Amino acid sequence: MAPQPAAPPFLSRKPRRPWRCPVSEVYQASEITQPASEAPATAPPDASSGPASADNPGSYPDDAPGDDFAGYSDADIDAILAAEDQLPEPRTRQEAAADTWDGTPDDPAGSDLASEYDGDVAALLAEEQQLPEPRTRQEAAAATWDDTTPPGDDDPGTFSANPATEYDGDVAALLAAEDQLPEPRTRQEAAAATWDDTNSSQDDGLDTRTDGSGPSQPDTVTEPPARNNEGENGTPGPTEGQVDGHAQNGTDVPVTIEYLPPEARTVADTTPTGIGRKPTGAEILDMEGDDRTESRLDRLFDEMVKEAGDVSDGSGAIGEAIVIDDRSAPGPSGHSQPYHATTRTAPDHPVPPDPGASDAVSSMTIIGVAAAVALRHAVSALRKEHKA
Amino acid sequence: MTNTDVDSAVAVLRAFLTRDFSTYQSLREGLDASQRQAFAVVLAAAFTSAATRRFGEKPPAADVIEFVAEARASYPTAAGILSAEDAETVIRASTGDDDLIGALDGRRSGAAQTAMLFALTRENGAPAAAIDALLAEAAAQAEDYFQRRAGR
Repeated sequence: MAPQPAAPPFLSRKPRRPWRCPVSEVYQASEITQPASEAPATAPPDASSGPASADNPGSYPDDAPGDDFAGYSDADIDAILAAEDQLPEPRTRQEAAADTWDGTPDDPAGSDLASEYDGDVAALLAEEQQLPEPRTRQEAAAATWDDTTPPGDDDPGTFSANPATEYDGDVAALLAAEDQLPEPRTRQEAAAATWDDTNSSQDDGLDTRTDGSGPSQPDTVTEPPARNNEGENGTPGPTEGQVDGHAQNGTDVPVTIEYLPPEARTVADTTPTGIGRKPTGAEILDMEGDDRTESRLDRLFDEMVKEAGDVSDGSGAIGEAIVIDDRSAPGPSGHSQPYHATTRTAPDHPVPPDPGASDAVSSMTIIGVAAAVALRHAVSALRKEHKA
Repeated sequence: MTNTDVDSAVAVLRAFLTRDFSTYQSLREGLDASQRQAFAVVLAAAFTSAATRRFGEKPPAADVIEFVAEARASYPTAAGILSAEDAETVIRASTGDDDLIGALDGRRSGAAQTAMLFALTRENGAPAAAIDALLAEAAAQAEDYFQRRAGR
């Protein structure tokens, strides 16, 4: 028997989680370690390995059909087989999964819920047995309506005194209510009818009622609309109409409706009948002119009255400063100059010399004369001394 | 509020605008609370009328700025108390810029209106008759205001 080579390197195995190295990896490891048969011929055979690199004649014939290990020596094949013998028994995926599940905190086998799954199934089946017979959505809705709506409320089934036939009573009530509805009509038909109601009935009378019995929805057409699309300046004018409305006390009151052409409507009014008429310039002035000015003055006065003491103090402080400025301002007549001299006229006569300048000239003249007199006296005194 | 209060306020303002400063100071110091209210309203009414006549509604800012600059240059002592911004604010508030009403407190508003009213009346050397007419209109507005206010 050939000496057994060292077993191929085996990966470490985690405890309680056996791992089986696939055969392909064993083959790969054998190739990486380079079999002895592929060693250079010049190298001397290792004494420890012995004849491992040589095929044993007759044991693993390389020329056998279907031999996938033709490139391996017999020693390599023996090593592979020995390694395979050390592998655990093959397991199914379920067994491997069960082993992996073991030891984890979520393992149901490690708790009291070990039989939970079977118990759950049993409980579900038992509950299903207790369910009523299947029913349609309509049946369920009818039952819910009957259960949640107390008699006397909106439940149409209150027509029926017998709870057992309450659902049928609901249906009967609904059918009866439907019978009272008008014949179905399209949206276009409804819109046309509404338009006819609001565009008919013309009258020039204005509704001036202020007694609280205001008109309600117009309902009767009294006259066909009288088109009046020519304004004063040839512009399209409004069309007025009158319809009969019902006051709150039941009496008929005329309601005047003014149908405005697009040119007369206010800005951004795109409704069919118009929601408002553009005011004229005079109307705008009447609306905002004086009131606006009065409002502004009132606001201003209100502010002043609220702080009248401070206003008076501020006025006094600035008044004293203005008095100082006014008194310090120079003026030809000794008075202060006005704030603004808007016009300046050319003088008719030459401007007299400034009194200050003439005084200076006179003073200098007097001083000069005095100096000359003094000098002459001094010179004459010196001459007298020389003669003496 | 009585018409007498308005008359007292008008007398104070007339003495000031006609440069009778000694009378102005004595009359102003003698105003009681009601007369001070009347004075505040008469001052605001007179100033609003004068400013509207001078500048019109919502005048260009350049016009207001130029006027205020000239007035402050003519009265340097008053210019040390009154800022140009306050003076421009009261003019713009009284000529249509409603958002500026109440922008200043009472003291600054009173000082600015008083100084600018004085400058406006002195700008063209307004005669005493023009000042009287201005104050008569202001007194009428003040009395009307107080009557409406009493009816509220």
